[in-house]
Amino acid sequence: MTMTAVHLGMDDIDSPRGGCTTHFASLLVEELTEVGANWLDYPNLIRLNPNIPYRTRGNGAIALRFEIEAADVDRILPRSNLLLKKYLKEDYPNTNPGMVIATGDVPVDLLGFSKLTLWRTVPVALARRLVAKLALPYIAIGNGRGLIGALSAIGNPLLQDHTYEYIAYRSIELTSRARGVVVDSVLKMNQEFGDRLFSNIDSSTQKILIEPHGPDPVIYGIRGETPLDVIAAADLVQSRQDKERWMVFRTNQGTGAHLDHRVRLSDIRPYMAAVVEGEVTAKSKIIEGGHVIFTITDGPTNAECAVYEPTGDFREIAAMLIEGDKVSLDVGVRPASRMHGLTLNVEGLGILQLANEVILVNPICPHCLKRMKSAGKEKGFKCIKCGFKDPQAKKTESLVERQLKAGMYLPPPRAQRHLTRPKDRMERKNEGMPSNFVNKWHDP
Amino acid sequence: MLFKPGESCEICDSREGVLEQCSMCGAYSCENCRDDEEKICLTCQEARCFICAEYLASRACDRCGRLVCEDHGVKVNEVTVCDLCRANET
Repeated sequence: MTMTAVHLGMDDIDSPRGGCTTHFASLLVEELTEVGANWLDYPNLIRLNPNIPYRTRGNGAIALRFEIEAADVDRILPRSNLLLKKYLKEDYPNTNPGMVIATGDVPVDLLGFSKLTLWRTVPVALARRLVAKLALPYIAIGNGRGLIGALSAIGNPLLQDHTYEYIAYRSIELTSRARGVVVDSVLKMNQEFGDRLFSNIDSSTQKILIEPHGPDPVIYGIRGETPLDVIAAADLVQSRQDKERWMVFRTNQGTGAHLDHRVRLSDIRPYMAAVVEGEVTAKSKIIEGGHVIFTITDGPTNAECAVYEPTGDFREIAAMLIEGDKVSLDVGVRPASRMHGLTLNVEGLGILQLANEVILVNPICPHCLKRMKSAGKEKGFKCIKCGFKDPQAKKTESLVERQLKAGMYLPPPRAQRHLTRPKDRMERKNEGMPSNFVNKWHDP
Repeated sequence: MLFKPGESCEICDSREGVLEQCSMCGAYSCENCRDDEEKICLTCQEARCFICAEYLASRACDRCGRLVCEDHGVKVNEVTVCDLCRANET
């Protein structure tokens, strides 16, 4: 019996009206297990560039990696297609699912493609060229945009840093009802597991982040460092809706994998995820809606930066920036419109060097050492206490202690991207493929 | 890693042929990854607003799924509706 390694990538099997690519993957895992798939890895949930406009929610694609009898490889895609057709919502015109199969080692071309889709946008034409060049069997529905995520997921074997997510699903028939996740149970879970979990709670507001709000089948998702942690943590979470199924994914969430490129301001492109450095050109300002806007320069080029109101305290940090502050920014690039040029949406703020903040103050009386008052326009200053007058005196510069400190600042977890490396994970890295599986990582 | 544009096609990484800058986004692209007639790269061709085609899209319409720029799609309570769908609804 010859076994073949199979990588099955998929994306865009959802819509704003329901469905979820991870949920579809859990159904497929059940089916493939029944036909004898020998799993080589947990299902990989690969988040791609969060700045592209045509994502449904978190821009996540899936790769399933398994061994199967060589004679059965050709049956996988038709079988998956049957399941896909049953699953798809026909009422939304912009669901463009894609599924791709690669066998053996992951093709080198896909490794490069996958790195690109973490921080740039790519056209469907490139994905179609790749499947043709590599002669990969595929399914593409609609405009075929799902091929991009499907290929990207296959091409990212998560050899660098990775994390895990346990996702609990409800019945697809009950997706219009409230999930009813019990807040206290989540707070307790978070307390018990400490830094073995991340981004499940927003500590400043005590808001839980594991429960989505759309009409999708996910009840909750728990993010953590190991499969055992997320499975054990899920035992503590209570919800009004029953779990119909669950599965553990290995993911690039919380790894900051999208921010791997430093980019000069002159080279910024729309939708990029990038790290830029520059000097603040003027004190930041707060505009209507409570958003903070400031401009940075790296010499030849200036760029407008925005920190949005929902980022809470993070916005307060940005509001304290003044001219001359040197910063490193993690940004997503918002394209220009009729109203504004390219804007850098700030998702991480590193203060490299603080400028001196200086204010002008009245001079001190040389006799009684009290601060003098103005004697009138262009008449110098006078001392109220001793009556000393100095018509030549001018205001003097005084250094103000800055409220900011150099260092890295992030928005609160409620405003972070799936890919953002949270504070709790700054010093942490899980590397390499898992060498063994936990006994039970999905049900059914 | 410092991004150094102009060394290869920013879309397919090809180093062959003449690289030209897209008139919409500035990316360098090879002849396979650009539309020479419109002088734009294939990424911009897909991502521009379907109503005006003048600006790149900022989001997808939640009704029809097509991409719209900030001028032609209104976002209310996290839901984006393009001008065409809005006109059809009223």
